[in-house]
Amino acid sequence: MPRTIDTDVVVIGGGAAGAHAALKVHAEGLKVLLIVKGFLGRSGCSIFAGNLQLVNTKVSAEEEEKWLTIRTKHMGGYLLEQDYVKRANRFTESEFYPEMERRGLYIRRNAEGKFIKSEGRGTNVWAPLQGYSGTFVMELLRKEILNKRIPLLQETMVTSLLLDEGKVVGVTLLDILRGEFIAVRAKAVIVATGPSNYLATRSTGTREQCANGFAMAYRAGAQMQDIEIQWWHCSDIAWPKAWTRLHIYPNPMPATKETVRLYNSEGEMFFEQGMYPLAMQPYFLQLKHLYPHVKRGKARWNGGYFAGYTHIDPSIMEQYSYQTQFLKALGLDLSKDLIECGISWHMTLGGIRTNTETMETSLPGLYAAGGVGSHGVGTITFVSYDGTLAAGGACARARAMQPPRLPEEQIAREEQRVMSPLKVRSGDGLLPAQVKKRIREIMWEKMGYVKSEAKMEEALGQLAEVREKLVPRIGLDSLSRTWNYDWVDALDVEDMLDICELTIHSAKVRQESRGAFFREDFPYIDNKNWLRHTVMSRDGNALRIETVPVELKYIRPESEREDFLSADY
Amino acid sequence: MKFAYYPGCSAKTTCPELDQSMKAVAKKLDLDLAELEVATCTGSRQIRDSNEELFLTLNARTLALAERLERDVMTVCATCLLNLTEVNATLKQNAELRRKINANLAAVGLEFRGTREVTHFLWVLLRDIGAEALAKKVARPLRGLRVAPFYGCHILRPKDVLGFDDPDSPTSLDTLIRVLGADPVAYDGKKRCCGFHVLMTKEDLALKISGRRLSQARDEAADCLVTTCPLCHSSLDPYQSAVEKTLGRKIRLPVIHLPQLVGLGLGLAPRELKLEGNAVSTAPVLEKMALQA
Amino acid sequence: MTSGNTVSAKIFRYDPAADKAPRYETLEVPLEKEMRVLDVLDYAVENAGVAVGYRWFCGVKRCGMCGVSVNGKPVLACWEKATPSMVIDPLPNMPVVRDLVVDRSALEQATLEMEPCLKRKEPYESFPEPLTHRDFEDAYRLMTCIECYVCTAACPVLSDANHREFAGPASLVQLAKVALHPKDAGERVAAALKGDIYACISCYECSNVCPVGINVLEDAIEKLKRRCAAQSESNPGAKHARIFTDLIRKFGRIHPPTLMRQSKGLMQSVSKMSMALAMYRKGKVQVRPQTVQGIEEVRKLFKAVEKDQ
Ligand SMILES: Cc1cc2nc3c(=O)[nH]c(=O)nc-3n(C[C@H](O)[C@H](O)[C@H](O)COP(=O)(O)OP(=O)(O)OC[C@H]3O[C@@H](n4cnc5c(N)ncnc54)[C@H](O)[C@@H]3O)c2cc1C
Ligand code: SF4
Ligand code: SF4
Ligand code: FES
Repeated sequence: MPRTIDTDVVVIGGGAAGAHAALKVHAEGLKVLLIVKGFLGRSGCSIFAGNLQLVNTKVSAEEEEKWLTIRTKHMGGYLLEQDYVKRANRFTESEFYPEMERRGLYIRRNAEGKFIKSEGRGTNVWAPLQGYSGTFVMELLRKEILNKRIPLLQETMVTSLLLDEGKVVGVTLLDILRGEFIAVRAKAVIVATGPSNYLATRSTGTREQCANGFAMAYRAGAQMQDIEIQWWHCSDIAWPKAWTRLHIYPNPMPATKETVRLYNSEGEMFFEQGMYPLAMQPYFLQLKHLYPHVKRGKARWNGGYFAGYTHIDPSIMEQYSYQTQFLKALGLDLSKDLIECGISWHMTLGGIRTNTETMETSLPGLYAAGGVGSHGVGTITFVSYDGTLAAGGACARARAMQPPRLPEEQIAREEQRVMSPLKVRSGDGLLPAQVKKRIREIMWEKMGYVKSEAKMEEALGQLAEVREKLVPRIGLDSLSRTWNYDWVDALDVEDMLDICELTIHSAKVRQESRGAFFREDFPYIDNKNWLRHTVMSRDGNALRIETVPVELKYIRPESEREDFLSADY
Repeated sequence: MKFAYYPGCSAKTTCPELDQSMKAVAKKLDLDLAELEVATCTGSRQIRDSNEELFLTLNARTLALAERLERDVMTVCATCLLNLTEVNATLKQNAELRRKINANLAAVGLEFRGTREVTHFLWVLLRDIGAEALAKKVARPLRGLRVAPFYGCHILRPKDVLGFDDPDSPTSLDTLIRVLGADPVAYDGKKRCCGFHVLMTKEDLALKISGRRLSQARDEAADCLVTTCPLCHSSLDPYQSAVEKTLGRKIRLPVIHLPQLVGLGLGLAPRELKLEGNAVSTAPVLEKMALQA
Repeated sequence: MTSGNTVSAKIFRYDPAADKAPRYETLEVPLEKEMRVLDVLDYAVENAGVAVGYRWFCGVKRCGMCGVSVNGKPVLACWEKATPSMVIDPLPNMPVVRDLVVDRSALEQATLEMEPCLKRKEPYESFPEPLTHRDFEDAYRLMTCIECYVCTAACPVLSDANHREFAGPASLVQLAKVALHPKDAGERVAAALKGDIYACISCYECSNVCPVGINVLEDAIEKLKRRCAAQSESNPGAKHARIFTDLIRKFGRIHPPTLMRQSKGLMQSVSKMSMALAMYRKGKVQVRPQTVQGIEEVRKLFKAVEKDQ
């Protein structure tokens, strides 16, 4: 048996969801162990949350309804549970902001003390710069966790969930720094590994986000919901490659109503948020407008179209945007130059299926919080709510439980699996990172924004080829156990292949288009048949896919069927 | 060319040879220097580290004195250069602060208006006189002399305040050494710190730092080292014997002030440059140049 | 978009657990438009199959984890532009874990020990607090510090003097950031002195390398030093600053012998006697302080400033 650690609750992931969960379990007086594959508050998506939404549902019923519509319709394509959206909005105003300000978050104000806001429908604020807010939020959460000496393992990858009689009783992990395999016994596990996975050549997911959370949950038998609904960011910078995650925000800029404009390769403007005053976060609409230009050869998905601030007072960018220094470093003069953009694989709307009151999954003992869960609205305030809820659920369970028994046989099998990549590559061998790159290329080329049955079949074929031809050639350069990231990459390859295939299978089932999800062969929103979730789970070695209806409690789409490209959501 | 000359405290106390050589060289170069005799210390790091308003006020006074003479300020001290440049820029930009500081200056009948610039002798040589014109004046090229340039922190950093040289690969002093006919020695320490600002409070630390620079220059077979700042000069020259003790190694590297080196190239006599005033004997340099002390 | 040129990267390789000594691996990489150092490293692994270890997460100056040293200068790999010829080393002042990956834990511990969490005197009331941008201006300058420790890697007090009592600039930025928050009431002077803030030699190397453009020395360290000078009775650095100021008040300029005697104490100054004598012989010591002309004006200015304070 490897070394084991005992705790009450394990939290996997150090983004806003995981950090909130860990703080809450600690505050409840239970033992928590926070495990982060990267570094707490410095990896994952939370550091990218550029805008904070100033929700003010207390003001009026209209205000509450407005936010419900923005989230549910424009960001969720009506697939979100509406009560959850209302509760999360209230959490945002009554808990998130006060708690973060108490910790020292500075929301940018003017000399009179008024918030600098965006004008227009949904109000954004910044802490203290557009593009930087999440980094600041995470810094404060991280410091509080460190200061409270909450048990924390960083650069440590959770590799699997441990099960005893169908209940989750712990996790196994690989300490990347030392190369040690460890088992953790816990009464409840909260998975919070994030919304975005680095599964396509251009992606907003960070290096370590390779769908481990999805993979471990799926393998353990948890249900997955709507994982085919994949968001794409429409205007991230095209080059340098390293800066893929430099996002050009489509929503109103600080202290003005103006928004960035998008231009095709011939300089024709084709999008600005003002075209859809009701959509606060118009990512999906941007993409719909970009599509015809790509078709006509006036843009490419990875470049050849541009974002421009030329119509906006340059001092706005200077004063309020963290991105400005990047654009300047490229020698761009924002008063006249345009910025070349590309789209990137962003968040998955769906994820591990949860009950939105407690964040419990279909597996007893497993909770999912934040982006990895099944209602990825994609805001840092919502995932913070999830983390808090999940901690509540997990604590209640842990209090009522004796320490569980660890499944020794499963641990031994997992240890063998984790150790198996530790072999030296042969002459024509490949580093696992090279195979990861190939998987990302396949997903970029075949599972991009525009999907079709034919391309998805091709993607499945090419992924199968990777399994057959490339995976057997994987080997490492060194068997050293000290920070051997190739070893981690090798484990990631398995998870990526599994989840890419699941995503495709799930996408094949949804025969319509909706929100972020565009099937060229079904270019309409089918509200009659498809206000439904896809739900997938493992059945032995087979995959089971069902669909279940979405509950539409407060708002619902007006028509049964709409042309996807012209619909305003 | 006219300047208000700000020598700084060191040139008036520990380094009289700097002040004297500067004046001798100015004559040779037709620089008209009006010395700001009533100016105070710029506060080194200590006043700015302890009392910001005082720091601003004292330097605003010096700047206002130069404004009254209608001359830009030229200094021979890098730390003074930075202090004066920063105060000048801050008060030019910030009207509110300027009003506050001017209220203080009113007590002595002065006003800071922000009409003048601050420069350093090195910059005057290269920017105002120019390398070409200067080369023509070189009467005694320092052929074969290996000179280690020592820029000093406060003439390079912060870049956005000073902006003359690239702090990561500065070239001005190297250029000057070449203009004088000598060979600049390449070593990483040339753009690094001399340790001066903790010399009084943490001598061991300062000596370790200056020791790094001196031994590097020594290892590169420098004949001497040239400084643009009397503070760097202090930790490298009079303190060199202490450095040697810390390092357990003989260095014996002559450390020459910028005007002294320029003066040699212009053909001035060592005595006029007060080269006998440096702590580490400069005789080896003069010998190499076949000069009498 | 290859421009036909290449980048030649000489990359530090070392696994202390397995290798006897570090080595360099040289690699030619096709130069791409606006390529960053991080792109070069990615290329090494993903295209060339060179198993170099390096850390990164975000690629856009948010995570602060990709620090390396390029041609001797500490930088962030994702921010620094690739140049045709680069030697890429791990950041100095931290132990090497493997290749370009360093162990930052000791430095992070130093930051943590400064307790860089806001400490309020009065309990927090409600959102939003009635504060203006002016109240936050000083702290604001430090808010985008991503704790990359690139400044600490550049600090000569650590690298040249190996003076490990010094917390280093990155930790001091974190301390200053809370200290300057308008509601903070923590004991920040004690923390700064514990981090040996007066070991800072004011060289601006930290400000020079900061990838987000923070003037570390002026906007963090100097502000803390000012508090120390005002509040610490006994710290030699704080005392020295006060003595220095008093000399200027008296004479308008410094008098090194007096400064030394008062600052170091008589005993230590005596130990410097032989040096002082040598300097005296060279005409470098004036026994009596010289007073600048017009000292009355200077004293008036001191009065005017002190009246304000
Ligand atoms: C480019 C970009 C821009 C965005 N803009 C905004 C915005 O403007 N406003 C807004 O509100 N939101 C925005 N978001 C969305 C928001 O940031 C995310 O929805 C939210 O922060 C997700 O938080 P999380 O805690 O669920 O996951 P993450 O923050 O992604 O955290 C996941 C954590 O899991 C860890 N992890 C992963 N795998 C493992 C493993 N196997 N073992 C252990 N740990 C693991 C990771 O290291 C990481 O710490 C943006 C996101 C991106 C990517
Ligand atoms: S200014 Fe101070 S903290 Fe910054 S690098 Fe120099 S010695 Fe270190
Ligand atoms: S001050 Fe700058 S260099 Fe130093 S840690 Fe912060 S961001 Fe990095
Ligand atoms: S990769 Fe995150 S700061 Fe460079």
